[in-house]
Amino acid sequence: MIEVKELKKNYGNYQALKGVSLEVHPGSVFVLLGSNGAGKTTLIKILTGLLRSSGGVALIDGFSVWDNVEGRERFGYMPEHPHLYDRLTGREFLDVMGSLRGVEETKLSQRIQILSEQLELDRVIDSEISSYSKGMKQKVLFANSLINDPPNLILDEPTSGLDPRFTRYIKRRIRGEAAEGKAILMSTHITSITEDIADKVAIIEEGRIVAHGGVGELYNKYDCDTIEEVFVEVVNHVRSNN
Amino acid sequence: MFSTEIIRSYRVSRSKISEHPFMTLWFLILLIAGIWMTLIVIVLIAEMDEPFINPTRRDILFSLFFILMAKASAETSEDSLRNHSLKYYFVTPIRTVKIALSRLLKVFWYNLALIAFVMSLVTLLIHVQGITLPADSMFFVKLYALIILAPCVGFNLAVFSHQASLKDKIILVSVYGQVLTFVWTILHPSLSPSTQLVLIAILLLYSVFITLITTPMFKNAWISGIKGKNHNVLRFHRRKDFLPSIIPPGIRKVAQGEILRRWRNRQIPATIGVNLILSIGLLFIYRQLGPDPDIGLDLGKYFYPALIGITIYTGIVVHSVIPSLTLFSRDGNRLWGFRTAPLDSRSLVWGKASSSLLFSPLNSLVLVLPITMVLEYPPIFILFALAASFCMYFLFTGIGVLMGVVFPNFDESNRGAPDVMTMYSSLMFCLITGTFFLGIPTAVFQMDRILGLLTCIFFADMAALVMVILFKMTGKRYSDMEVSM
Repeated sequence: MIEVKELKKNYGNYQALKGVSLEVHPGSVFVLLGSNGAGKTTLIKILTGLLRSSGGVALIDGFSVWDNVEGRERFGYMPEHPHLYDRLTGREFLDVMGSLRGVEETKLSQRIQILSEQLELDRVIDSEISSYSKGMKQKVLFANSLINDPPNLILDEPTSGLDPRFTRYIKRRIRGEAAEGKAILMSTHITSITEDIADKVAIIEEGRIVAHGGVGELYNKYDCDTIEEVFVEVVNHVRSNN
Repeated sequence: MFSTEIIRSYRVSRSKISEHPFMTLWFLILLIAGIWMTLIVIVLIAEMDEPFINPTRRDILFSLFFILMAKASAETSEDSLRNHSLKYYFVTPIRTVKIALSRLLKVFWYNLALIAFVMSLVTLLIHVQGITLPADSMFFVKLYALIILAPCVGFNLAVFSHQASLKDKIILVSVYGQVLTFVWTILHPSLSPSTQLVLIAILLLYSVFITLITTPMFKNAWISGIKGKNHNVLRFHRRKDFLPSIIPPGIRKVAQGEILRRWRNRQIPATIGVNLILSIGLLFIYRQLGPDPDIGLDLGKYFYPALIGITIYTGIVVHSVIPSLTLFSRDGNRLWGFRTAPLDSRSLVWGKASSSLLFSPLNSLVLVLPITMVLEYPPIFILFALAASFCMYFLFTGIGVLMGVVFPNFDESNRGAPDVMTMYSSLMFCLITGTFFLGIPTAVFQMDRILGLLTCIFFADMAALVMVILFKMTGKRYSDMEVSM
């Protein structure tokens, strides 16, 4: 389970997060929607222990990841940008990361093989990552987030750089992982993906959650037919009030 | 393009100075002290008037030219030919020749700025201290001419050595590399200074001309520098762990990944190569001067031990300090991987540092054994030299890793290479602490060999303890570091 309570983050005088709260329960997909610079990635980076919060609580299965190494076994993370070690092969990268996450060696080999076949990486898995396309790197990142089959997934723009076929595969996979009981928090700019897979949606703007609920609830509340319309309506409303 | 680089460099320097004002002050003090000591040593050597330890002006000019050329070559490789950001220039309608020239100009800019700064300090110190250097004005004119030539030669050699085909590499480097022979020949004292200057100018024009006509090769070198290999490079999945299982699994995995990366980036072979060259250089000096060189003042018996000490120091700096400084900054944006994994900071620091430490016995043997065996030094001296090298390894790795995490350079455009302030300050720290840690055992060794060896082993133990403490401090610093590049 992922819990965020009154989370704040300041960069000098600039407040990137102004008290964000949310909960992601096992078996559900929670989508963060927001404009560029709204605070989605900052929230995710605090949850995953990459950034320190300036206030509030960010917990994964009860662990604050910033100061608890144990908590890092409890989630898989896929960052927004595919920054990988170019001189390692895809298999070597997954092997190192899987081992660090405590996956037993034989099981890890099988897991890498299965994931690389499912993500159609098997032909390039033993080539250096520097020879991969952006989409291939995204697939390696996605495989890495699932390498130890963690109970929570945190995905930052998981479909960025993927072709329509694989975007569809990833959407189905995310739903499938949720069906197996994982708590999934993901951010995206793509409203259609939100409609396809989200159980709950939060729209984040200027460091605050300004709307949240199920997809149907948001349609009803804002009298809109699509999440795109809801998003534009909510963001315009926030900006006109500032 | 050049203006962009200047603005970027200025902003990076400004933010570093404002973030670390004491470090900047310390760097300046060390730099001034270093230059002052160098000037004093030059004057003292000149006054001794011993032909053997008095290098000729030709030696000095060529050495300075070679160092600057090598520096420019390394900078071109790191900053241009392995720089992914250059794609933003290559996709614009700008001609490749302009891109290549802007990169050459950048190398010039950095080197000339550094030289101008150092020479200003030299001038100031000469004036304040009333030092008279044993060199005439023509020496400095030639020095400046070579300073301008060196970056150009270094740039071209880097481009040629990055060509995809081995045949092209060998032909281009060996043909163009003759410029070095020409520089050495031109500096012969039988030629008049004006002739030498004219010939250096011709070499400069020739080098710029070569840069211009080989610009398509610049693009090829860049493609070759950034591309990966599309074949099974190591079949890692068939023989996973090449490090012994006695090493804890977390540390082992990090160390293996680090060793693979450094091996494929050619850092490990390059380091071993440099140490081999140093060792061969020592043997060459021995062959030239014989076992008992006459350098006056009864200093002959200290000549080879001192030279061995300097060689070991240089070899360990290359093998240990420089890679340690970049252990975290080279990762840059990739640090998310380790940071989100359930790996404690201690294991990460030990794992990364092990990629240097594990090769230290091999490097020590390469550095120490050939010359000591040729000189037929007694086994106790060899053991003393080995213990001293381990002492330096522990100490310098600890200092390098800590300095690297306290003053990281997460600049992707130069692949996390340490800035000149961090590099120079770290090397000086190493020199000072190394002198302290080895000074006492050396003094004891002069009086009693066995006791000296035991003292050296004790100080190596102390150095290992210092390293452990420095690693702990590094881990703490890393844990507090936000990863948001």
